[in-house]
Amino acid sequence: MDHAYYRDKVSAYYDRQLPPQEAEVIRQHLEACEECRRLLVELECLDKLVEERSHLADREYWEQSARKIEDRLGFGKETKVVDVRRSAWSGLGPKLAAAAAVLVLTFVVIYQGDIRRTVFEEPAEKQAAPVIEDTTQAIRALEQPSDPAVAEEMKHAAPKADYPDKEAVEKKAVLQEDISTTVTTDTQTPAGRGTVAFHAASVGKPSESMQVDVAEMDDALKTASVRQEAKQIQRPPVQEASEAGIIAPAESLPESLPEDWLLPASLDVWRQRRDSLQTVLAEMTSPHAPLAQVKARTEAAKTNAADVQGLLVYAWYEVARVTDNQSEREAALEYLRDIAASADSSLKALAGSYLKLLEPQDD
Amino acid sequence: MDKMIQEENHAETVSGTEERTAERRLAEAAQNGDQKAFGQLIRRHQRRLMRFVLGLVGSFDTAEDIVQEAFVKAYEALQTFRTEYSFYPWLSTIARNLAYNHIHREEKKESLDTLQEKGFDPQTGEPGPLEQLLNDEAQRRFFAAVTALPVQFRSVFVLRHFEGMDYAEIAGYLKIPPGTVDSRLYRARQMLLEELKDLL
Repeated sequence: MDHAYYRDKVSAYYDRQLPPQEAEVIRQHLEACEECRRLLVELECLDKLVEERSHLADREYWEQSARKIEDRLGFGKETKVVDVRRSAWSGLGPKLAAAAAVLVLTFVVIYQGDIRRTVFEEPAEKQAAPVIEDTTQAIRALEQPSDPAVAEEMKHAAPKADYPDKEAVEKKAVLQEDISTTVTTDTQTPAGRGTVAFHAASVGKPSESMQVDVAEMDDALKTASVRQEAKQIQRPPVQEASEAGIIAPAESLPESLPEDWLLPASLDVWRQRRDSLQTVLAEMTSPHAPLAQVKARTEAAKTNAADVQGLLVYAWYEVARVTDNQSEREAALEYLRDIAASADSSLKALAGSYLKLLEPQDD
Repeated sequence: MDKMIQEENHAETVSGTEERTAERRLAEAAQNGDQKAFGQLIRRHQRRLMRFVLGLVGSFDTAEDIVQEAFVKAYEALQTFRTEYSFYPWLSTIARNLAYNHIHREEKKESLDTLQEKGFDPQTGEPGPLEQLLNDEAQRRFFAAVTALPVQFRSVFVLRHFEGMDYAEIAGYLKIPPGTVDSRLYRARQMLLEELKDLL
């Protein structure tokens, strides 16, 4: 056999990786071959060299190295970032049960009448806009009333209810004395002071920090409380409004509804909202809309055509509910009937529920 | 003699079992959010991991970065680690993949022949912190020689000598036939013996 065969096997023999019979052949060859024995010795020396020279650096270096890795992982740092800037209109299902429990507790505290609230350190005007703002901001950006009177009414009808931002969630809220006094004496709503706070805002009081113990809820819980309270708000008389129809219950509100849409608004406000949404929807769905424009609106709003259409359906419902113009009401009903007949399942149901409210069937 | 060997093996088995149990507890604690436990795992394995990665990538600074990155990725994926297994093989797989990614990126830049000629992964200037800490010239030469090996030989050598794997394990790890492990290891050793004969 060629000597190269034996020489090439010495390495594996040294590692004890040869099958027994082959190892025996190499062992016998080693007894007779000095070159291969020398190679075996060199391999043993190389092994020792690896053992001696591969230990790298000293203990201090390794401790520093470990600390660097720990620093990179953020070990030992106490700060915990809580992301409250999530859409409060999504994933509410599991939270509603907790929200209901907290809401009951909150109302119990309120009814006790023994409330101490602290003002925010920053004036209300400087506080951040509501956290539930992805769709809201988009809608507000689009609602540019051409009529100054409508703009003024929108300003009061949709007060800047400054729901706490990230820092504010951690602080307790206190109503200012004058507002709480007004609230106490002026209202007799059956729902109690929780809704009275909103009522006070709706009659034109500047929106100070109206944070009740709601400040301790996260966005989802606050949203649930707003929905609950919205059901019980007694709308003040509106000059051009009829009392036809009833307020939509919380369950049939669109998922992406901005919270200020729950507050009383005039017919002109609803018309404005409806028209703005129609423009947005047309842009989003039109194949001819400039791509950049659609993209800019969509990204800014972080919403989609389905959300916008859901809001549009609701705006049409409110127009139909509030108007006393028969032609306008009929146009709104026709729109809702079209949606109920042809839209996807979620909007179909939404439009259908509004039609039932507007045209209650006799049993 | 046989009895002594048996007792030694038994002692090793017992200590090995205790070691595995201790490590398993650390891994479980780390999975439950105990940062100190993960810190212990870092200290237990970083040296061995560095040796392994250094042997693969041939650059001290790169090896340091890869070892750091491997621990970060291991921490991020910690919930997927099954504590009934040893921690190091899982960790070294992460590091190996990072090292191979680096090697492939480097190979795209230069041919293997050029890498072989240059030996050391080209350093831009001053030796990095780890290289500076190497105890003496012999140590630096040793690592220089290892990293000068062509990568396919280097991998096999590192796994055998630094990781203590047998041929079957290396073959499985690198997905090559056992016979190829044998021949590559032999070639690697020949090259190192040639380069370091005065140190032997």
